[in-house]
Amino acid sequence: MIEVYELTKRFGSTAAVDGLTFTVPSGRVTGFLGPNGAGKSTTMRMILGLDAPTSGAALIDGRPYADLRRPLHKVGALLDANAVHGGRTARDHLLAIAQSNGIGPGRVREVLDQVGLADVARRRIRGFSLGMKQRLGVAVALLGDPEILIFDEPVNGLDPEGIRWIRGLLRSVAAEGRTVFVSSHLMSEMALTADHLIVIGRGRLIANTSMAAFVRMSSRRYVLVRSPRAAELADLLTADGAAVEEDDEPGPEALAVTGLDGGRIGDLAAAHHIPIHELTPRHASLEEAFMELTDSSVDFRAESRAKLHTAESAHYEGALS
Amino acid sequence: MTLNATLAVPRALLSSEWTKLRSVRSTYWTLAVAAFATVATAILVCYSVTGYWIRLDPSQQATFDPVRASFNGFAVGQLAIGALGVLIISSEHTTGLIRTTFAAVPHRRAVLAAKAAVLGVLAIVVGEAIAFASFFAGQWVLRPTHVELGLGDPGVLGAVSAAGLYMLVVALVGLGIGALIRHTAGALSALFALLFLLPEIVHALPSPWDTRIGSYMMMDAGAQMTSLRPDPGLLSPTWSAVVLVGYAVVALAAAAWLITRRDA
Repeated sequence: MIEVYELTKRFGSTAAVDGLTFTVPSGRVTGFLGPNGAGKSTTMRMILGLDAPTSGAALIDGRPYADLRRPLHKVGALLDANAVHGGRTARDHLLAIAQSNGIGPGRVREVLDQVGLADVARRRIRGFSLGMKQRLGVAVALLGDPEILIFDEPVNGLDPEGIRWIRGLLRSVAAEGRTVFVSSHLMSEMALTADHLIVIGRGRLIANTSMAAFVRMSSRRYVLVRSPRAAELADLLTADGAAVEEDDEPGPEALAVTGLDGGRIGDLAAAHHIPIHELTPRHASLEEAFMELTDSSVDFRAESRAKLHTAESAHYEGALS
Repeated sequence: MTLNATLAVPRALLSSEWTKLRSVRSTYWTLAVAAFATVATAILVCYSVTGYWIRLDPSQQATFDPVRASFNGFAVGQLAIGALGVLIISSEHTTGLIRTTFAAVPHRRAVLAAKAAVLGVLAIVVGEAIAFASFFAGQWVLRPTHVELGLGDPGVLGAVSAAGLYMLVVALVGLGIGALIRHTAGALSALFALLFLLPEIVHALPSPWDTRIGSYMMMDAGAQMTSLRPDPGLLSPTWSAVVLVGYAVVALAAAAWLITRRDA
C-alpha cells in the first residue's frame, strides 16, 4: 500500500505538488491521471524517496521509502526508459542493479526472458529502440519480484505493438495480485487498465474514485437527433422537459437532446408527423470527461487565487485606513 | 545517519559498482589513455634529457633527479584518471540512471562510498602500474647519462610508490567533483581548472606567495612528494602527501554532505 499525506513540493514559488493526499490500495491497478505538468512524476519521485517533499509524507506500507532495506524486493519502478547508460549491455545494466539488492544473475536471466529481451541481452543498450528500452525498464522493475509496481507514463512514445505489450503486462501483474500504480495523461489508456483512479491537476487532487464510478459520474449521455424540421422538433422536446442544444457534428441539422430517451423522442416526432433521419444514443468520451474535469480544476484555481488576492488587498487597504 | 552506517559498505553494493565500472568502455579508454600518455611522455622527456645532458653544467648534472624526470608524464596522464573518477558518477546523473541507482539503494552515501572504494582499488592498482612503468621506461632511456637509478637506490621505491598514490588521489578528487557538479562536461572543466588553471594563477602571485600557496597545489604537492631531492623551501614530502589526501577527503566529504540534500 502506498500512502501519500498532504504531500507538497515547491520549486521556488510554484507548487508542483500541492497538499496531495491519497492511498493506493494493495492488489489493484490504480491509475494516476492528470495533464502533462500536473505533478505526476514529481509525486512518484517523492514516493520513491528521490525528491524530498517540501512538506507532507509518502509511505510504503507505513514506512518512508528510504527506510526500506533492499527496496527492489518491495517496490519496482519504471520512471524513464531512457535513463540508461547506452554503452552497457542489457544484461550488465540489469546485473548491476540486481547486485545492489543482493539479487543474483539467475533472476536477471529470468526477467530478460520475461520481457522478451533474452536474445539481445549481450547487446549495448545504445542500439535499442524505445520499445526495447521500455521492456528493459520493466525488467528492472520486476527484478526483485516486488509486490508494488510503479510505472510513469509507460506507453508514452511507444508503437502500437509496444502499447499492446505494456497493457498486457499491467493486466498480468495485476492478476498476480500485485499493487500497480501507473500514471498517464491519457484517460483512454487508464480506462483499459485501471480499477481505481486518482486524478490530479496542477498538483492538486481532483478525483479519487473507482473507475466504474468515474465513468458513471462523468459520461454525459445524450441522444443525437437529425431532422429536416429540427427547429420545430426542438420546441416540442423542450416543451416535454428535455434540454436541447444544437449539435456541432457535421451533416444536416442535428440536435443533442438530454433528458429524454430515444423512444420518447421518436414517439413525439411521430405524433407531430415530423420526419426523423437519425436517432442515436451517444456518450461523451471518457477523454472529454477527463478534459472537462481537469479544465474546471484550472478554472477553480484561478478563481481561488483571485479571491485570495482580493482578500489580501482588502486587508492591506484596511491597514491603511 | 551514523558514521558507522556510512562506513559499512555492504558487499552487494561493491559488486554492483564493480559491474558498472567494468561494463562500460570509458573505463578501459581512460585507463589506456592514462597509461599511454604518462609512459610515453616519460620516455620523450627522458630522451630529450639525454640530448642536452653533455651541455649541462656539472652543478646542474649533480642536482638532476632522474626519478622525477620519469614522472613528467603524470601531468598529462592524471587528467585521464581524473576523468574516470568524474565519469563514474556524472554519467549516471547525465543519463538519469542515478534515479534507478538511488531507488535501488536509498542510502546514497553508501553508493558514493562503494563507488569510491571500487574506483580507489582500480586507480591505485593502475596508478602504481603506471608509476613503475614510467620509472623503468624513464631510467632505461636515461642510460646514456649514467645517472639512471634502480628501485634499490635510496628513496626510489618510496618516490615511485608515492607517484602511484597520486593517481589515486586525482581519481577520488574527480569522483568528488563529479558528484558535486553532476554534469560530465562541467565536472571535467572544474577538474581541469583545479589541476592546471588554479596553479597558473597562484604561480603568478608575487613572491613569496607564489611558492607558499603554490606548494599546496595538487601537482606541486605531487612533485614534492615524489622527488628524491625535495625543495627545502616548500612543504615536506610527508606534508605534501597529507595535503593531497586532504584534497580527496574534502572533495568526497563535500559530495557526501550534499548527496542527501539534493533531489536526484
